[in-house]
Amino acid sequence: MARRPDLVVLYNAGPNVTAAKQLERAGIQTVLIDLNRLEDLGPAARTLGRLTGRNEQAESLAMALDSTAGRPPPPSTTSLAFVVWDNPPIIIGHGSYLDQLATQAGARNVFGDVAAPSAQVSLETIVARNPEWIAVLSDSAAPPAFAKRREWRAVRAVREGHFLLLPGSLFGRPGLRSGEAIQQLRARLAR
Amino acid sequence: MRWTLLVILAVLALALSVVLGPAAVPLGELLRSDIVWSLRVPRALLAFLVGGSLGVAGAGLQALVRNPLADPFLLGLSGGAGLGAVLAIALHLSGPWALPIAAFLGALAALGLVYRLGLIGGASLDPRILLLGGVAIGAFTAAITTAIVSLADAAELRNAFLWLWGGLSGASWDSVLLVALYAPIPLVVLFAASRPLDLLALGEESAGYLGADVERVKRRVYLAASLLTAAAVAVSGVIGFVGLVVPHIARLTWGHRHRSLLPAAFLGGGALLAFADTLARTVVAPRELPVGVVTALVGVPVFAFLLKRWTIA
Amino acid sequence: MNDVRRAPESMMLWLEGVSYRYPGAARDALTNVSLSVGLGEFHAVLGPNGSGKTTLVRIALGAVQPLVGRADIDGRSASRWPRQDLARLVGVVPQREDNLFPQRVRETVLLGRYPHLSLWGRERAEDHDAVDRALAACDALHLADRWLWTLSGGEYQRVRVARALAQEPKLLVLDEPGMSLDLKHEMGLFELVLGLVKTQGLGVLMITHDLNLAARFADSLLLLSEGRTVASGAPADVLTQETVQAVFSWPVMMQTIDGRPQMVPLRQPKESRG
Repeated sequence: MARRPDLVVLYNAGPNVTAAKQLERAGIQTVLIDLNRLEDLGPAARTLGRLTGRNEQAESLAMALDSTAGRPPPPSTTSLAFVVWDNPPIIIGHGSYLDQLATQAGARNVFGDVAAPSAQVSLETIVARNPEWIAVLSDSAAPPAFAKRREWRAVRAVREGHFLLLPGSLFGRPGLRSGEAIQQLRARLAR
Repeated sequence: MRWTLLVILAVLALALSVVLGPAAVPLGELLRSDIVWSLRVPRALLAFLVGGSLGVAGAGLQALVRNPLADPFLLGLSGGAGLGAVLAIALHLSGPWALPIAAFLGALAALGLVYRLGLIGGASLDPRILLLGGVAIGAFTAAITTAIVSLADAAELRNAFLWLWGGLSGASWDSVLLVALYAPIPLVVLFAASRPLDLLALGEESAGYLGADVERVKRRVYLAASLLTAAAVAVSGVIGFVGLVVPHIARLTWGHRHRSLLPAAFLGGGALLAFADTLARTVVAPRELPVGVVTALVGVPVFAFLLKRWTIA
Repeated sequence: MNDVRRAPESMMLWLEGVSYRYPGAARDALTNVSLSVGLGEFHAVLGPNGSGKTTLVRIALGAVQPLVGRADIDGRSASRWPRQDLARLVGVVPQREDNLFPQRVRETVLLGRYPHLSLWGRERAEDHDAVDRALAACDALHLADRWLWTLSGGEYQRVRVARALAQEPKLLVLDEPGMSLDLKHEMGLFELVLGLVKTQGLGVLMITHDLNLAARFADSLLLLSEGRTVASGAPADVLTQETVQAVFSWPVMMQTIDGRPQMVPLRQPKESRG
């Protein structure tokens, strides 16, 4: 508040809602933006464009983002599971951003039938569904620690070292570089 | 007769754990299935060992602190374990065993603190101070843990709480072997204390006059029960209600003589946890419930029923 | 003081010149007290509250070590006795006891066999026989299968004595056993204890506040006041009018019944009090 910005942009998530109210009361213009899925990118760009008075630049950006989001997905040639946490195993389900990225990159999320964005599953389910890749958000090049655990080696992709290590900066959230993320994912899967 | 039934129950719980699961494994393929041998069998065995250990630890503690509401996790161990786990993540400690080891050490640290508190005012472990100290240390460590989680960045830290809530997901032949080698020693110490624990029910003074070395028994029972609980938390997080409810259920049939109560609590606790884990894995398949939630959901009605029976008796 | 004819080695309990002060206390709890209890003897310790009776028994049982003086049980220093060995020799009926879980009479008396059991061994036939004998001696055999919480105060006390007897001790120590018992049960308890002394040759040390019953039943009294021995010996020698009045600070009249002194407290008119 001390810096008196012209505009504060916040992700529309729990604690931020309260923060936004506080900032508004202090007289600082605040906007909460939904940015959970690919489809949110276009509207977000437009909103920012409107607020900063840069409507034309925003509109062209928004159209590019919309087309990325709206593109029909290619047929899936491979399967994966996103593992967010190993003990207990937490996977990404249908409808979340990562799930969308996978679909756009031509990979089927084996947990696409789980309606929630993330869910705890049994390890044996992962083994039974046998994804070809295990995708992990990680900034390092080394396989995740759980790869060495005996119970995880029942998963074929873990045994074969088929890990997709996705840097958080590029893959963590929808953003301007979402298109790039999809390209990168597609390239890695092709290897 | 009742022992036969209990053994059958235990075997049944183990069998269900192996046969049932979210991944459909046809009966004919059970023996060949990798899922069964790499995952289900060790998980069933681990559930049994952990549940049994918690049952015995709970029974021992209830006798030690002379309070039927005592639960192994009242001693502050879960708070210490949680803090250890969160610190391990926050400090980016690597290695597949980093979390369990950190949790175990955290639990031991909490154990040491509460033990030290229990010695305040003399050489005797005062049961009331053990209970109060346990609650205090538990609250203290929980507060620090929450502070770290809220201040730090990683979403991983929040997932640590999921781990702490109890789960046998980390079960493998490695962890089964570890627990199978570790648990017998504190278990034997507790079984050997069966008669002195019977005497302790009369009060420490009377127990001493009947020939029990009260101080030694208290120390051993407290340490053995705590070590069992620390190991349980390290491999499977905090699984509540097993240590509280199983001894009471066992007492309904076997009475208060610890010589039979403790083995019954072991078998009963093992069966209960194996069964609860099966439910956790199958009820919302392909998703899984934290087993600590299932034991609470099962444990609370059982507990309420027992309370009712108690106030009538 | 102890009779010089009594030798320490032949006594079950031998306290000589014992003094003790609790940590942080202003004065001694006991100063130079001596007491000896032999087999077949019924000793009672009397005195007002705070006179040191409980401390004396704690020292006698080795729970506390005297600062000065000697406290032996069966010829060996009381505090050096291993707990289990001591429990085979001395049975104690403390003032208070918890009962955390419901129990039957037979089970609770069976706990008295602990000093005779091995670590992993089961109870043997001889243990159950000892329980039966103990219950019979206390006239409580008919209560054997009852739940403890269904017993009257007097019955419960007899069961506790039976548990101490199940230890097959040579010495029985009771701390205020008659407290909160009604007349019938209190008399019954004293008769029981005297009977055990006579028929089984036990030594008995009893703390009691009931002067009259102690005088009627015990062979020897020890009267304490503020941690010191006021008098010891035969009841008639100890409980004289002057002594009782001095120790209890109340006017009394002494009568004799069955050759034993009995105290009758006098009423003090309001004007002359204080």
